[in-house]
Amino acid sequence: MILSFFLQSVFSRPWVTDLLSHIVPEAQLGVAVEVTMSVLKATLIILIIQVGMLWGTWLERKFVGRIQDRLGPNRVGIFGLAQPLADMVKILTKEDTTPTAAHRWVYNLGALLIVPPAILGFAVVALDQGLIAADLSVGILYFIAIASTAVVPIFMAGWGSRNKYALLGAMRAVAQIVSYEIPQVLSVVGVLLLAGTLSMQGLAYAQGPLGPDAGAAGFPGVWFIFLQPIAFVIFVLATTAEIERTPFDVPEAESEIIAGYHTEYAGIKFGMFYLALYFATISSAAVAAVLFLGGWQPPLPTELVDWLAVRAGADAGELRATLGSLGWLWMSLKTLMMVLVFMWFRGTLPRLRADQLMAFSWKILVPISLLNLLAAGLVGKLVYTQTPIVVFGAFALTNVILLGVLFGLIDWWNRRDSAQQIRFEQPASGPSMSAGSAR
Amino acid sequence: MIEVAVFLFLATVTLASASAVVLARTVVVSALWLILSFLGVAGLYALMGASFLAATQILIYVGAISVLLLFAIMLTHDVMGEERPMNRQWPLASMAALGLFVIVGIVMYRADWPLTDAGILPVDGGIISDSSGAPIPRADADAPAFAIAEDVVGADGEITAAVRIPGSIASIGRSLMTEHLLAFEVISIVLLVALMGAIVIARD
Repeated sequence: MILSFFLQSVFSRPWVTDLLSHIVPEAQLGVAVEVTMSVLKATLIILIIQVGMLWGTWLERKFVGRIQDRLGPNRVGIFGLAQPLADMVKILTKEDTTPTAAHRWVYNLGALLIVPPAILGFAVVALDQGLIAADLSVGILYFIAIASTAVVPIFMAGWGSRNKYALLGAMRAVAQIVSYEIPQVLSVVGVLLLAGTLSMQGLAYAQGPLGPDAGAAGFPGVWFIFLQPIAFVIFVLATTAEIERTPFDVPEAESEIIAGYHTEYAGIKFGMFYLALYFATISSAAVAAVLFLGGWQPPLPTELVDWLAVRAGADAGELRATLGSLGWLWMSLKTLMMVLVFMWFRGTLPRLRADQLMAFSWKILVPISLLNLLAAGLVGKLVYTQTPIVVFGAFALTNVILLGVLFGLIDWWNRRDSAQQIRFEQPASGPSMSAGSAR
Repeated sequence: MIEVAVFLFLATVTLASASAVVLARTVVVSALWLILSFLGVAGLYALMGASFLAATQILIYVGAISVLLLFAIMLTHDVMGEERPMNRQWPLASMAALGLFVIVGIVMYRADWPLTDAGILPVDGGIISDSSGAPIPRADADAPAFAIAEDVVGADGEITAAVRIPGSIASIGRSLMTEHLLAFEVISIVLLVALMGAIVIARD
């Protein structure tokens, strides 16, 4: 992501305009600059996400290895850093097989179309103040909508393979994504109510001292994780399920259904699914960083910066400006932190059972996210014009109450389930998720 | 010029995939073509500057309705088999479709399209100007191709010009909470009832 720093300084609009004015006639200059800037931004995003993906696999193996007291890759290059390149060569040279019974078009298109939803979502991620491919007014809605289209290629892969396990995996995946979309969206809406905007740039502005209308929403410009911690947890869990990372990777549970919807894919076609997983991880981490961790806003509050400047004998304004200009660095660090959280889940948590997975979404996440939304709207409206202390106090109290409700809910379901188990002398839930969701 | 080319492309995609829905041999493939058709419609919305509608179209139709369709197909048909979705009722069905087409055509022909009215304000570089040419500030980051002027009567009876940007989130929200409040509430209740019904059915 250091690339973003160079590209922001090198490929700025005046420079491009100057260059193009030598080639393009005056009348079309505006359009040409727009098109060039769009192409540059798209290239930048694809570069970032590709590099992030390649060494994301390395990071994941190294990080999960450390968690599990292993070394991780350490043969190719120093610290195994060239491992992704070796993997790439291997996956590109593998034999490309297609099952004879497969529906060729649907099977091949499924592997191709899995990647665009994962990349397109990145278009609205604000990498820095002003460095955003498309600052849509419906930014976060666009991200969620694009992410939701991932179910179509997954279904195509599962159905096109003509393999029972692949079809089962696809049905599990589709049911899971549709179910977890609801708590994901509901947890985001609470934040949107407080920020008063759907634009990703506007969300970043609302969470810190920088920006044209900082603090205009009437709330102290703090990261929304402090006002909406429960929404943050719901969002991270639901997103983990949306992108099918462990512990929510039931659709590809190898002990039950081989590899789920990508059972029949080999070589680079399998690589596409792998690619899409990491693309989605990175873009989801970036969106979580913008929504809840302030995006490119500096991680230190202004007061602390001023205090530090006084202690160090430096100029407070200059220090603030320096920290503010490093937006790309803060954004990268926050994104990296979120990616590491996803990897940490993978290293520590065992996979859920299919029925537990659905029950967790519908019985716990959906009710609590509805309550959280109600509370966010109510408390947000009540303390809209109050002092920061009152706002913090009100939100802290709300979240404590919500936590109490959440634990009560979990306890109630647990009691109910164990009571049912005694009554039927067998597990309360059916063996397969598809039977449960079919009703 | 570019807009016309994009429109023609999107319209072709929408119509061609809609025909493919009817002509495909396999039900699942029909459903997949239908999804492409939905995407084409979303592109048309985006072309009109209705970004909220476009995103909602993708979220609801591509992300949810089509998934329901696929699930329904998987639960009712021989999923792996090929089956021509034609039966003896196709003349009746095509007559019904043709009738609907005629009705929609008549409505479209007779409708009083607000965009052809006077009062459309030009938008230049994302800045909306009123009739005297002075720019009107707006809260949205949208850059629509046009905006519709509305006369708004202020509290003291004075008429102030207001701008409605079609399709922007703010204007959709405002119209849902003012002129369409009853319909909005009725739909909410209908959806709530449907949700509760689904839960009741799922409990047995």
